[in-house]
Amino acid sequence: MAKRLLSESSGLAGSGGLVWERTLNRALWIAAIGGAAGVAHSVFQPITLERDEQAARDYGVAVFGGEEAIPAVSGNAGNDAAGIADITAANEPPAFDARAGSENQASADDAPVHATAPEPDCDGLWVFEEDISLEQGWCAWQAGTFVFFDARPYEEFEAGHVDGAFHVTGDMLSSGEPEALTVAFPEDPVIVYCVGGDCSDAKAVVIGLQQRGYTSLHIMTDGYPGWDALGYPTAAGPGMFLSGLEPDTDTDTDGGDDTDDTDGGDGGDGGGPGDPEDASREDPSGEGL
Amino acid sequence: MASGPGLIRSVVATPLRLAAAGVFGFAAFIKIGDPQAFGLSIQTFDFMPDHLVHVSAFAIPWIEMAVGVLLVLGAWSRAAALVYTAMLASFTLLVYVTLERGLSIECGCFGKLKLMCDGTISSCNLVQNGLLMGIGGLVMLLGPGRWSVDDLVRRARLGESRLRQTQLGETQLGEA
Repeated sequence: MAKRLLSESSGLAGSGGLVWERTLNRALWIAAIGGAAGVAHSVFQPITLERDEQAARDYGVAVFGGEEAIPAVSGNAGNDAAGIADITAANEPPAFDARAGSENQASADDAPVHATAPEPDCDGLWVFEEDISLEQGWCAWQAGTFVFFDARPYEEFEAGHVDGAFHVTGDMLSSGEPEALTVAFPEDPVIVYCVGGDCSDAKAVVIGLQQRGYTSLHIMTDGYPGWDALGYPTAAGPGMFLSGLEPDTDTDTDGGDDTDDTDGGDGGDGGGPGDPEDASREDPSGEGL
Repeated sequence: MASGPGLIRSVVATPLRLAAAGVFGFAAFIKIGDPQAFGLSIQTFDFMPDHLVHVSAFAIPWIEMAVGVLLVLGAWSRAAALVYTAMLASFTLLVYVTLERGLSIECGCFGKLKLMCDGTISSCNLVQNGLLMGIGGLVMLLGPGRWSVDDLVRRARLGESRLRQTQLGETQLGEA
């Protein structure tokens, strides 16, 4: 049938091989002519592709991951941040913008400026590999469409965590369904972090989430120490959902009431316009970026 | 009245060819108008060095434009459809690899033109490209259809061939 159609349409009965050879030659000519036109065009209208170099120069990060690693931000870096004002209380979270794509990124212009690190150009950081940088995490936090899961032990989470993050550990996922999972649909983009370094805790959470069908999972490899050191928004307290694994819930200042917010602001856990919970509800498609 | 394969070409091949031409032509028009944006879009995929990104940002749209124009005219249609299909196959492979890498990025495959898929790349883009490749494959198989330069050339050649056969027959008859 194909040969018959080919012969019929070419008007050269029985010459299918010749037709294809001629077709291939012509295809190469088309590619060559198009390519030549493109080269000519490039002479008259040069373009600059400096986004990644610019970001690397300004922030010392590799926009696309790979070999140019982010300068290590260890827990010791916190010493440098000793004089940092707690911007969590000082700044209102950015207004959540449910619009997708560049509009979300544009809304970052109105976001609070953190105290120490240079404000990253989020336009150049929206390529999220499995592992993401602190700057990418910050851009995602501002966008409000990502859910942050803290994979560290409960004591550390309670002492301080990314503002709006929820406590979910590998143990919690292997032993049941943490209530915090109700804030994120499987299609929502999720960022998991722990203490940085090997980040085995975060990887355990990622595996648990993958088993539950979550598809857009990223590990912020420099973890909470790096986040805190750069002065990005943090909160303290038990969080919105108690994990059931906390060591002594009786000593909890709010009596373990999940809905209470011990840090006195809705930016603490689960509230606030920039809160991932709101984001996951308003933008369940997870395509906000 | 056309019949058989001729009817198929008349009814199916021409609209398919024009659809393929429209997709590539419009996408090329947008990309050519803003090579900077297209270059950054390619760069976002992070699969080739910058100097190749630079070349691709210009070459791909112009090749698409050449393919679109040839498909509209119905000239070198099968070759144009071959290039069209090959380019779509490359794009599809790139989308697949990007999905495997877990990147969340806008496709930019057809400039600002959104066919079936919107937002970040997903399996929807694979389906979309598969359908477009199917159109290209059919154009390659069925040929340009009626109302095309290729068809006019084919008819002219057939007419010339018949004329020669007639002349040859008359000559042989005269010699006999």
